[in-house]
Amino acid sequence: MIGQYSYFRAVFWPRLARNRFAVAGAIVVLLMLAVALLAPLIVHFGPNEINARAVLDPPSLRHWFGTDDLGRDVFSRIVYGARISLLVGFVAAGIAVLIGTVLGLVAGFYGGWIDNILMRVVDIMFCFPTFFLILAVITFLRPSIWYIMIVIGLTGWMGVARLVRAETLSIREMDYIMAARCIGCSDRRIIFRHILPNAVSPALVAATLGIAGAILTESALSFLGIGVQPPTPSWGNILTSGKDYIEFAWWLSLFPGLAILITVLAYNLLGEGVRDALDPRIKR
Amino acid sequence: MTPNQSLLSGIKLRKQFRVSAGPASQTGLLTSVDGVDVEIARGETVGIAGESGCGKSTLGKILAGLMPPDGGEVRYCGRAIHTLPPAERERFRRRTQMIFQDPFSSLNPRMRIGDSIAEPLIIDGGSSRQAIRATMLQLLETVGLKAEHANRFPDEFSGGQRQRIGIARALASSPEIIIADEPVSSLDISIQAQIINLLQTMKSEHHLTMAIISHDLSVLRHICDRVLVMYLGVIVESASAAQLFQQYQHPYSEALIAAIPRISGQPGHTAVVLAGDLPSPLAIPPGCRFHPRCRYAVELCRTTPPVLEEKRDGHFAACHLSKDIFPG
Repeated sequence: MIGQYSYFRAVFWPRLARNRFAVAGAIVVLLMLAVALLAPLIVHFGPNEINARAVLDPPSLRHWFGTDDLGRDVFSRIVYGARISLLVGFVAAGIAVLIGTVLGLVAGFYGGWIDNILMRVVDIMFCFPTFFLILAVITFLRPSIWYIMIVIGLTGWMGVARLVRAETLSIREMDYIMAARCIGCSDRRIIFRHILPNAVSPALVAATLGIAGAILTESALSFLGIGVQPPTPSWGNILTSGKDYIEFAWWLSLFPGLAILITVLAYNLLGEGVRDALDPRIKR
Repeated sequence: MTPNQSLLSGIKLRKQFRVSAGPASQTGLLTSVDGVDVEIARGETVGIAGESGCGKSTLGKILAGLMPPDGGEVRYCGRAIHTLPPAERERFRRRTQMIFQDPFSSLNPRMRIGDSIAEPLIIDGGSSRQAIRATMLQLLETVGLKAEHANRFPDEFSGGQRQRIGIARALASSPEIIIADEPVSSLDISIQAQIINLLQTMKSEHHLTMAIISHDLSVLRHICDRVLVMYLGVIVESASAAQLFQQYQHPYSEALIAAIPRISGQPGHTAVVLAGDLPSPLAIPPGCRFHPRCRYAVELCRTTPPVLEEKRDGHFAACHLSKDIFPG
């Protein structure tokens, strides 16, 4: 019991479970995860299985989401694309939240010149149009999902840092921080045991929303042809191949678009639910 | 009181804050504590009284070693704490605990209260988990809570219960000195008495030395050996509790004592109403700081600041006129 931290079980989960939108978001998120993990068990066709006799077939019982210009099953490609999209989302948002949280905590807690330098770095980073920065970096590097994840992560932490810093600034003035100093807590202990659990709410929300953002960014990059390279399926590059046939093969654009929409929406709903559930001021 | 008896003392303590005031964001220098001398003897309970904004909380934090003073020094057993080697300074810090005014912000809302109380023991190290847990449960019981409360979070408790938890946490460090900053002022009257009694019991059981900060003299009256009255960053009167209430030597103390609500009008007691508000600590009046609100003020008071001097045996006051206004 001592030292064991389970605020989540006692307060967070029950509160989250009462928010219908967040539960719906969470179900979709879990469903997507399951789909991504169990991809081979779900699909009847390989994602890269070409069938010259079924080119641009409309949705049918055989091909639920139709087929593309090479006769590949769109459903299979979207299911496998979920793996890429979710992987990019998790890793990129994870990198961003980790960097942002640590820098935000340090800046807010120590203040003074450390805070000044870190926040100026944030300002400078914010000056770059992130998407074009990513475009520029990716064109210099070999297109690979790992680079994409790292670059999205490295350009996405500033918002988290600002949120966590702001939260830290207000928590730092609370009496329980004074009390922690009084009983002899080290700075590290104060930051990680007293400030972090109370400042974690914006970071968690940012993480959830960040996943949505990273999925969107990856889709956009793939759509532009510098993200995930064909034939590896990703929601973005399925959309790209769909745009040429949009007049007579709507399914090629609709389904990957819906996949992106539903996933991003689910993460956003979940993110907002997490924010409300973590806010001790909101009581239901 | 001889100097070697004093456990905790402050010599000429001064603290200023830079504040931005007004829409033009000019910065001003707010003098919160302005040259205060305090001595607290081992085993003594000292009350610090004054209106909000007079610097009493700042003084408390400085004495607890939680805020470095801009001038002067805090001495623990006669040695200035900023000159102590780190290990001894750490020891001073742990043996001096604070109890805070707002029991809703003094407990980490994301920590079970058992963990909050046990934290000082964990930091001290050297004890097994079982031993720590046993001590924690014992502390809970000492302050009148039950073992099953240990697993709960602060928002499941009332203000009075939280204040008990705060006291248990302070006791977990086995302190010598407890500085309580307005320990009861955010509690209901009925709960106030319980907490005051608890503090008194703790004091005698754990041989504590205490400083209690309060704006309410009636709170200090019964538990303090000595009371210091602060006004705008300085001490204007220092006397034993009994002396202060019977033979106050400063018009400000007179007003504070008169402000204590009474059940029926007592004959011979005229209401002394303090005129106006506490002046801004950004612009401290010249001469005696209290003169703009003092009904006895004369020309001397407007020009010359009075010094804190011994008016009677062990009874200090800073007033030019005390001998005339409060004879015998």
